[in-house]
Amino acid sequence: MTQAAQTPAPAPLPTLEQSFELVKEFKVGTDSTVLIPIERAVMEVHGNETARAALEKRLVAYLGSSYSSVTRAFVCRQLVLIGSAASVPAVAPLILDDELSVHARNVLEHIPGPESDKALRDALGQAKGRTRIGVINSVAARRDAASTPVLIKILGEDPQSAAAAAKALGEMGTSEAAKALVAARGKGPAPVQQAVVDGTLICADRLVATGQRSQAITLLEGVTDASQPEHVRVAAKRTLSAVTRKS
Amino acid sequence: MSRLLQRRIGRRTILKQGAGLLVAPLILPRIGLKAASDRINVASIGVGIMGNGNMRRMLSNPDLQLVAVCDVDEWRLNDARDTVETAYAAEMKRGNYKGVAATKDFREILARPDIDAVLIATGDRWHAVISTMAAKAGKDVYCEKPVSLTIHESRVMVETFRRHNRIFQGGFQQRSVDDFAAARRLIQNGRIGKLKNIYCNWYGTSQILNLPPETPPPGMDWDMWLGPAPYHPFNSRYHPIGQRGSRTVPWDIQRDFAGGSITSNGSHHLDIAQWVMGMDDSGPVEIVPGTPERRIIDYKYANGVLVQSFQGQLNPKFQEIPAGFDPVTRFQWQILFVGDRGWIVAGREGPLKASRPEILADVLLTPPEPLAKPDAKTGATSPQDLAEQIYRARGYAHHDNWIQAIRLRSQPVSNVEAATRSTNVAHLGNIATWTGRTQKWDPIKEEFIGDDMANRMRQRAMRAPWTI
Repeated sequence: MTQAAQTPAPAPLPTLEQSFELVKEFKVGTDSTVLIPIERAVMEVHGNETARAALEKRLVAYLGSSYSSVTRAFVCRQLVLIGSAASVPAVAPLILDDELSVHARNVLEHIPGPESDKALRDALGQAKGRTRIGVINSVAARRDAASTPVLIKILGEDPQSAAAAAKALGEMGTSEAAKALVAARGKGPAPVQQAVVDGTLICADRLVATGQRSQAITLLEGVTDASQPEHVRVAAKRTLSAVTRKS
Repeated sequence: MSRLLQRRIGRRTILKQGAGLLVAPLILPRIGLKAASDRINVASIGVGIMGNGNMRRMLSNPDLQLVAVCDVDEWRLNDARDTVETAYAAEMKRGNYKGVAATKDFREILARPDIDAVLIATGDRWHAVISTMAAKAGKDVYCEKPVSLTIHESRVMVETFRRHNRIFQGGFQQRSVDDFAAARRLIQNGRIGKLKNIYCNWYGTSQILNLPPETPPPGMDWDMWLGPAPYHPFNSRYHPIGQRGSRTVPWDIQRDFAGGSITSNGSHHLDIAQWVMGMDDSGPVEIVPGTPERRIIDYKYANGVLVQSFQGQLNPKFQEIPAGFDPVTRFQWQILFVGDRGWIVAGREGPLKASRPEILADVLLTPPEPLAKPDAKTGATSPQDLAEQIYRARGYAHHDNWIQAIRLRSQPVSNVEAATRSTNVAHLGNIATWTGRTQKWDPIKEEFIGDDMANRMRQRAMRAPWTI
């Protein structure tokens, strides 16, 4: 018997319309190849705004709570690629769903514009625990400076949240964030302190990149002394050296 | 193999390892052991097939002391700790040795000030997170390849390691294999004229799979196994139970965890291509995906070189077979370099081949005859077994290069920029494959040109609390 005869031919893929029917009943463990036509349709709207918007609208309809988590996760994966501000209202509630939160944040991190920023900022005030830490990380990824006041408040909360907020403030790279990081220095348990120092170093690099050299120098004062570990001092001195060279 | 390595191991020792050690290198006695105060304290994070192999090589290294092991699978964790403690007990000629910490949480390792460096051999989803956290904790890092899951992760890794002046060695150990290094030298010296094509094996990507849930093995922390990846229920296809596994990276079928064969295996050869061309801080400018009929990915470089990834053997319908090259050659761990005045084949198993003998003149070849003869007394049953063992022994050289860089505070051969850029080439191949269209790439800005969808594939949100 030949190898070809031993291997059963793969089942033919459903049509796009059949795939949209099958996604309604998609459950954990269902063969994911039945959704390939939808994935292909997503790839094919490249360069065709009308088709992209139509497909986005069609996909968003499957984000309701009557659909399974894997269906909604699948839809989010497609919206990561073709989502626009029009998707945000349907995606935003999923941020608060522990399992779907990462998928919703992934969509929002990739959709340009203020709508995504606002959805994530709003979620900062509603999410709890680990889910909120994920939102903090997404706010950091988008460098949404308008979230700074909330992040400063979180700096005084539980250590895990505070550490995430410190790093996020560093990503903002603003003078307001820098002031908050200086104020947080020396407070809280070791992991928070490490995050504050990490945020400080990142913030300084961002400040330098945007021409705010004097703020960067001020921020780095206090992390170059012998009380800091060698890998922190060397990082601070590296940035300071770069500032000096450019001056 | 280097002469130093040959002295350390010796032919008889290699032969005695036997074919079974394809998955578990022999722990060799440490010769020239440094004083305890001068040894580099290392922890091994992730001790599956690759991690266990790396760990065993480290146990044979006189410069290192393995002080901790980490794995989320309790069976693997205990197995690794027992391996280390047994080896050190034997070395000290005493009944037992208890000095190796075992933990499921790598953060405990990063918090220890006495640990100088970590070897990361987890799944790809973890590489960037643990590497950057290690750098921020002041550790030097050896990380298995592919060293990142996304192009964005790669850039953050470069920034972080540069910021903290930490040593990073990517697990692209082919750079420490004599024959690849020799081929690079010959090509850069013009022995085959102007380089035109580089043919690399390995083709195949990952998918978003939706596997059914199974019961995780007792003592396994599945949440930590997933780490930054989106939730998927445990399935033994991702992680075999009660063993190190028969496939090196079984989870690479799942796109949330890895990029498939293009990144798992293919990145090795793409790395050599980058290295040979002097593109360690760059990459291709155009990537053409394969099709069902033409299963070849084209990577076009600004210097005019075409790098191709494919599976198995050259396809004369789509690829030019260079004069004198056997068209039915099955590619696996070798690369064909074609210039306008000849060609070279270099591989893990050797020997180097070329279109003309003078191309290889003055090159010290790996001696195939004495080493490739099956030896009835020692159990090595075929030249292939032996060649594989020799290649695995060369893994020591890559560790040695890392250790030297740690001591000298110099850049190792697979430094963070080189390792992430090579990994990115594989990511680019995947993104062209997933979008199904030719992609133009700006290697300076690290952006796709005119394809928003492809650009969105450069970065992924991580499951909380993880970030980079």
